[in-house]
Amino acid sequence: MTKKNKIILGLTILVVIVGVVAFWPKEEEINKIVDSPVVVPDRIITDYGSDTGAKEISLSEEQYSEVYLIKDLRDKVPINRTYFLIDFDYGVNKFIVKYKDTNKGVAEFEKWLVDTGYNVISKEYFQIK
Amino acid sequence: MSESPKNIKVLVGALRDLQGRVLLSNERLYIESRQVFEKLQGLKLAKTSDLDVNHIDKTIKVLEALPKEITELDIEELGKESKEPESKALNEKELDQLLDDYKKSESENEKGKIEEKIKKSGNKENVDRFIDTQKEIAKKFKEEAAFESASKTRAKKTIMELVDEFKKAGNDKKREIEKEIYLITGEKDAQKYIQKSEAVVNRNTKGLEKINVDLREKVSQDLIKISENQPEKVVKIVEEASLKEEFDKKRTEREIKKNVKGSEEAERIVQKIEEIRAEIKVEGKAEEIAQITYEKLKTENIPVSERIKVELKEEILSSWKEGDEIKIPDQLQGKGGEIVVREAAKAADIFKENNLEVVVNYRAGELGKEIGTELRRSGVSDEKLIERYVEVSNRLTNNPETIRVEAKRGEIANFVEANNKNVGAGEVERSIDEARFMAKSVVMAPKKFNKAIKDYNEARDLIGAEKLPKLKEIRVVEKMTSLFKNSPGMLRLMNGAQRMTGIFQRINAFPGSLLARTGMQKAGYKILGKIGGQAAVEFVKNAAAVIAKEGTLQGVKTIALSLMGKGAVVAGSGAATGGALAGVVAAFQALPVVGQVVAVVVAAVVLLKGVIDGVKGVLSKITGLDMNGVKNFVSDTLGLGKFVGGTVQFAADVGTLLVGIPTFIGMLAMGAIVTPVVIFFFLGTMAYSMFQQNLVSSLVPPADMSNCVLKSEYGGAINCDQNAPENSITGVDKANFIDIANRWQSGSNFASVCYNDTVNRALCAGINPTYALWVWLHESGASNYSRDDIEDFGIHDSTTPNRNFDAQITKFLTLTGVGSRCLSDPRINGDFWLSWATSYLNGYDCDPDKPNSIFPDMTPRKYAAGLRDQWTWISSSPIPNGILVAKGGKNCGQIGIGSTEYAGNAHEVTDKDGNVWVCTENTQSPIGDFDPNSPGLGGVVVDGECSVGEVVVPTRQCDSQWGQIPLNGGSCANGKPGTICSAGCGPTSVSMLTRHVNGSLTPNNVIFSRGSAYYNMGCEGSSLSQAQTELVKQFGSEAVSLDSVTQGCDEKAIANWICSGKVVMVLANFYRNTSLELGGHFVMAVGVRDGKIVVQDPYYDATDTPFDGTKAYGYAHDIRGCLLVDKTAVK
Repeated sequence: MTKKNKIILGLTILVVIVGVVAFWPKEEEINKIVDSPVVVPDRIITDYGSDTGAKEISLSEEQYSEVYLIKDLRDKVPINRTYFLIDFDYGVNKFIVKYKDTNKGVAEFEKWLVDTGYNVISKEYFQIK
Repeated sequence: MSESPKNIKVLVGALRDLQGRVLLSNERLYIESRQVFEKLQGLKLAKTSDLDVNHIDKTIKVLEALPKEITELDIEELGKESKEPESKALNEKELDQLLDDYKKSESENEKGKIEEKIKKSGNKENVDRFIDTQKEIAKKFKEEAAFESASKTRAKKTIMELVDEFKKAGNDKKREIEKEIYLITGEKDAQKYIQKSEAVVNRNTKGLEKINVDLREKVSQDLIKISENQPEKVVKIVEEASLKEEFDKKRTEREIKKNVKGSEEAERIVQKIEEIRAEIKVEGKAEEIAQITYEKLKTENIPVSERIKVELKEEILSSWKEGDEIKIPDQLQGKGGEIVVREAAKAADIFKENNLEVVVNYRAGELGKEIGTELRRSGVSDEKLIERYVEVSNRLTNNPETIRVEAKRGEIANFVEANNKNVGAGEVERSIDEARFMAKSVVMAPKKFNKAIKDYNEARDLIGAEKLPKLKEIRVVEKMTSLFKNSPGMLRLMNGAQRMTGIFQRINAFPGSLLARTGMQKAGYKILGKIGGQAAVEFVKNAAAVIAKEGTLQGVKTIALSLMGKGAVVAGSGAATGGALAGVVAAFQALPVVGQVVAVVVAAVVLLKGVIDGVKGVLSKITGLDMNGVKNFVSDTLGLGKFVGGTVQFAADVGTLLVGIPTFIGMLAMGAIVTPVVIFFFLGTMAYSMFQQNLVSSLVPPADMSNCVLKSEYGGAINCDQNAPENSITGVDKANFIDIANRWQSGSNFASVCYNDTVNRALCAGINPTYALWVWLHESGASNYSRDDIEDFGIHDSTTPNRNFDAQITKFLTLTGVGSRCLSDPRINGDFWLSWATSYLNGYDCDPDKPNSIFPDMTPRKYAAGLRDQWTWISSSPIPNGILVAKGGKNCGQIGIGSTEYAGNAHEVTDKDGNVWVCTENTQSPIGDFDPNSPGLGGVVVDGECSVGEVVVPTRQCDSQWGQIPLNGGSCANGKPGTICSAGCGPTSVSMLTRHVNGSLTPNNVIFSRGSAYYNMGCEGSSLSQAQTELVKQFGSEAVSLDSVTQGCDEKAIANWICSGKVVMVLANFYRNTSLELGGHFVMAVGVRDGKIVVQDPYYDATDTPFDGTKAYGYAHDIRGCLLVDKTAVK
């Protein structure tokens, strides 16, 4: 190995070490990641009447938002974040949340819920494991 | 619509193509329209609220009123220039001051100096801000200009502008403008109209000067219309009466009567005068309130532009027209102007309360104009007929005689929603309109009401249903008049309610009117307001809630029965228990003693008219005097006037009554004060108990004939020969044909009853019987009379009635050359069925692509394609190249009308007056043979990737064991009760699971069991939440996912749920007929096979995988909601 190559190797190792140290997730970083909120579109009611006897679903604005967000999230899971992972279990019909680190997971999950707007979804739809 | 509209002009065309359907029926068009309105709102050219999904004509009007440069601009380009200028925060006070001065500066010179000063400051930020300010000013100017331009365009629609344009236009343009003038005025000759207009203005310069410039045009236009074909004298009276401040209605009517033929014509003219006066007063007041509000807003330093005045005026007028609250214009939202607008709303309310009759006349005038324009647009040219239709429509909707204090629309909606948690917004709106109609109708005298219904139906029949205006008011009148026309039993109930209401009105009004007549108008008015006003408000609220809950037919029935039984309507309690009556009694007790006595005596006289008449008869015999002649004697012979005469007659009647009841003779000796009090208690108690116990025979409701209709009105009979001989046709299976007819559309058809007759007659005439069957099926669903306008074989001419099998098939079988007429036309290319389709669809036109005038979506080419497709449904033989076959058939010499056959279990009943009714009775027991120990039935396992079908028992809603059982709730639009077959997909789906547990838990047992969530369901069907309630009851809340997450479902989720062991009850929009119209429907998703969801369907059997994207009858279009049931709990 030439001297030049040794220097390059050394510099590369140094850069890697600096990179790892610099980008290693820190506790306070949880608060730095900001997720954009999910926009709930306006409702479009498509009730065409019925020849066989089905009436329109009557949802309040709040219910509609919740329904939309649940479906939206169900379509996006599984989501793997730094300290938690979320998926949907059709068997129990709930979102399953797994914390990789309990304290940090709770903090990140709660923040993520607020940032994304998924905090509108009632807690009973989330099963924490 | 295949692609997005390029510009607003194209969008308007697409909206017109909806042909009166609601906008939401075309989801894509709705979204595009919404985007356009959002852009227009950004440009301040319209509001998003102008997009009225239920009244496309209004939406179209808004779009058409836009400037040409906007309507022809690419939609994508719309609003691009309206981006808000970037605002930069600067703090320098100096700069602020300079900019302020710049804004205020009037001359360019002054502006230049300031500009120079700013630039000299050398600060780039300052210069930028200056440029921004310039932009802002330019933008504001542009907005104002755009608004003014839009206003001007709107104004172009007014007659004066059209007239001006007409004068300058060339010949082609002239014709176009002339048409527009005609649509608005009814005058075909524009030149003539101009002359009339000038004459009116010249004659009334002074009168017209007093009113607002914009309004002058409208008033002149009204004056021309009203004076049409009237003698000069009448014209003069009309113009004076309309424009002068003082107006003596009676004197004017007297004067007009002298100069026109018939009092009805005089009344009509006077009504029109009142409408013009109302227009001047109402629009003037709206202008005044808007002006004051604008000034207040400016005083409060709230940034507003001039156009807020126009917006406010429009809001105020709209609130008076719709009976709703004033909405705060967008421009003022969040700017602190809300309080000022609320003050304006209050002023508008006060005006309306004190001028209710004027407001109603204004509504009548406006509705009349809208109806006129719409009818002319639809091709109705008989102005007399238009006038007749307008008059009777207003008699039923905007009648000053029937108006009472109005509750606000929003307030009623809240009340209805509070009482009916599962009712959609559309249903709430509909129930309010119908309740308001009921409120107006119930205070009409029965005779007047019945005449109005008759007059309306005559006028609308002359016009033709398809030409009627697509206006909300007309929709309500149409529905309600048709209800009373088709159900004489219901009309009787209504008349009973009207009589009862009449008695209450007399009780309520007399003390007030007496006080008013004796000079105590204020007190009289207050009492009337207190009793009548509140009762009216409560009535509408409660009636709307009842209609929303029970549907129109059942709701009206409940209201009428409640009024007759107790004099009140209370939502949510079935028969009423107090309500308005309690309010009336409470208010009554607050009256002074004299008022109470007078009121009770009036009631007694009204109720005991029979007793009085009897006693009068005896007295007349004894004395030889005419006891009914007191009034005439006093008023005419003694010349004391009708009021005195009437009062003395009243006193004489009371005296007669007291003479007739010996008990009172002794009491008459009592003191002057004690006597009326005793009378009050005695008669009051008696009258009240009579109301309560329904002892007044004339008020006792007639027997419940609501399931009966007059034979002449009944659509369930058919005049085919039900005993016609049977013939076999190669490739056609009778059972298959009947099955297809049953699936063609809901309701009752006569496929099985008239199949043999159709085939035999066709063979006897030498017409291909399969072709005859196809036409019969395609044109009327094999005589499915659920619709009023059914033409059994599609014969559409004046000599062949619809809903008449015999007449229709007779004419149909004579059309032997129909297929060859256009065969030689090069556009047909020798295609026999295309040739046939051009003639059959469009008469004498051989254009294969010409849309049909009634169904514009249909062209001969499409029609022929439909025939080829559907031929295979009913026949396994190939389609021939002609319609003629060798004559055959049996007993061809005896073809004719067979005996009348009724559908279902309908039968004839003759009442005591000799009227023949057709009544439908339920022969199936609602509660079937439920056995708690009945074993469960097995389901059907789906052979595929996943299955939960083993716990789902295939069950059909039209099964002969329960299909025809009528439901308890509201009836269908045709007045007939809903059945499990027509509306039971929800409970039938539930039953698929319950039958796995207990085989006797059939749909009827699910619906009619004690406490069932389905117990009160009617023709409108049921919801997912009702299904949830019943399923939870059966399987427990743990097993049924009650959470709303299940409503946001899609195919992927359904498949996953099934594979996780859940049965999924799916609510989806299905293609409900071959025209691919959509309708909501429940099915049970039970398995996954080859990646597709497999269902058990209670109704359609086109497929068991309806979600695979196929666009055909019986397949699903989109999913609306789901409900999950854990398979393991279904045991």
